[in-house]
Formats: sequence, C-alpha cells, structure tokens
Amino acid sequence: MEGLEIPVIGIGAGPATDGQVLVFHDLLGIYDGHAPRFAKRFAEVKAQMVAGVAEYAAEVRSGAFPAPEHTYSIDDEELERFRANLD
Amino acid sequence: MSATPRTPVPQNLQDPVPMTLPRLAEKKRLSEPIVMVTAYDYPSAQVAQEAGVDIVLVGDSGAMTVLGYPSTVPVSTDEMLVLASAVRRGLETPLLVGDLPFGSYEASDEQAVATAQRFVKEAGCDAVKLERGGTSAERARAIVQSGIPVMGHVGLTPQTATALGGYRAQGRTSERSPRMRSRSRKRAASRSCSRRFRPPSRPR
Repeated sequence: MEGLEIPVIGIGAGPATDGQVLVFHDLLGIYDGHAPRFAKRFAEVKAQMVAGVAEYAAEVRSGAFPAPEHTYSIDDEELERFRANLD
Repeated sequence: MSATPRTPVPQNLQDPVPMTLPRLAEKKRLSEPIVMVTAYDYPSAQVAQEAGVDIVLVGDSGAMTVLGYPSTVPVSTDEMLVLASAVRRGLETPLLVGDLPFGSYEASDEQAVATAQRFVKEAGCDAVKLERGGTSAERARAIVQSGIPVMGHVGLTPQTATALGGYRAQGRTSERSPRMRSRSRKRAASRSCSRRFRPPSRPR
C-alpha cells in the first residue's frame, strides 16, 4: 500500500492493503454469530465438532463406547489373587 | 460411525524463522502479502503456527468468540492476559500482537504504557494493538517510545462502535475518507508498526 511506510493490514478493506487479517473462529466456521461479508469461511469446524461430540454421546448411551480396545485389563490370575485379598 | 471424511493432514507449513518488524517491512517492500490471523488459546496458536502465518493477534474479538460477551467492550486486561499467555505457549515464530482492551489505555500515556508492558512482561507479546486515532495516536507514541511496537487500528473500531452508529464499514464517503487518511498518517507519524484498516472493498 503506497503512501504509508508502515505495513497496512486490512479486514474488509479489499486487496490493496499489504496484508489481510481474519478472526480465527470466523474463517474456520466456529463462531455462529453475525458474520460480515468479508469473513470468508474456509472450513466448517463447528459442524464437525458438534457431530463429533454428538457421536460420542450416542455411543456412550448405546454402550458402543468404551469398547475393549479403549479399556485396560488385568490377568485372570492377578484378578483371582486380588479377589482373595478382599476377603 | 466415522461419517465425517477425514481431511488429509497438511504438511507443516510453519516458517522456521521468527517474524520481526524488519522482516515485515521487507515483505511490504517486496509486495509479499502479510498473513495475520487471531488466536485466543494454546490449540489455536498451534494451528496458526503450523499453518505458517506471519502475525498472530490475540484480539479483543476473543471477548465475543471465546468468552461469549455480546461485544468487545466488557473484556478486562486480566482476561486478555490469560488468553495471550496461552497463545504465547502455543506459538513459536509468528509475531504475537496483544490487543489492548477498551478502558485499558485511553486515560493517559502512563496507563497506556503500563498496560502495554503487562502484555509484554506477563504474556510475552511482541507488540500491542490499540484502536482509533485522536488521543490514541499520542498513546501509541508513548508506548513506542517505551520500547514496545504498536499496531494501530482505524476504520471500524468495535470498541467505539456505538459512537460510529454500529458495526458499519467506515470511510465510504468523500467526507469521511480523508479523516481516516489523516488518522492513518497520524498513526504512521507515531511510528506504529502497522495498522488494521477497514474501509469498504473497492469494486474491481
């Protein structure tokens, strides 16, 4: 941008500035408040986050999560000794 | 189910060399566009780092995007410092700019310098940003003279949106544009390192 020695960063100011800035949550589609025209969405992250948490909730409620691979186990012999110690 | 397609993980694009004011000036000289994005916490800072941006701003926009306030006005310096410190821990090479919140710099040069110093000392910011022209140009000069780089901000200044008549693009008339130009020049004269500028897009 001519006329100023310092770099000029624009937001909604067009391509003539020396750089651009956008709000993280706007450009990734996380914030769902009012989005001005210049806030181009480069991703839809909130939709993915909601889908992920909803899937987790559904799997907990259905019993699908946690599966054996998400669980720590103990040797049968060790478990027997543990049980004997409880008495 | 894994219905959501996994997007390929991009290669690490981070710039291995820390961003400095001379490097930014060089980019301007070479007409290399400067990329700036906001971040408000450790993971968003890591995203900005790995994506290879030039400048990260811990904006007072975090008041709305991460703290849920209805505007940027209520956020405190202490709250901004929590956000900025978290970003610092996730960031290596981009220039880190902390946004001075409403009420933290306007009263006097002393207040402005003291707040700017907190952003540098407590949160590890490289520079600070403040809004508007007028007395803000004096505050910017005082902060720069204390050794802290300043990014100005003219055009749509959300901290004083009420006075502007809401969130509206600024500088769209022949009467208002020169005022913004004058504010920009005052900021440049105060040796601010850069500024955000928010007039309307020019139709191309």
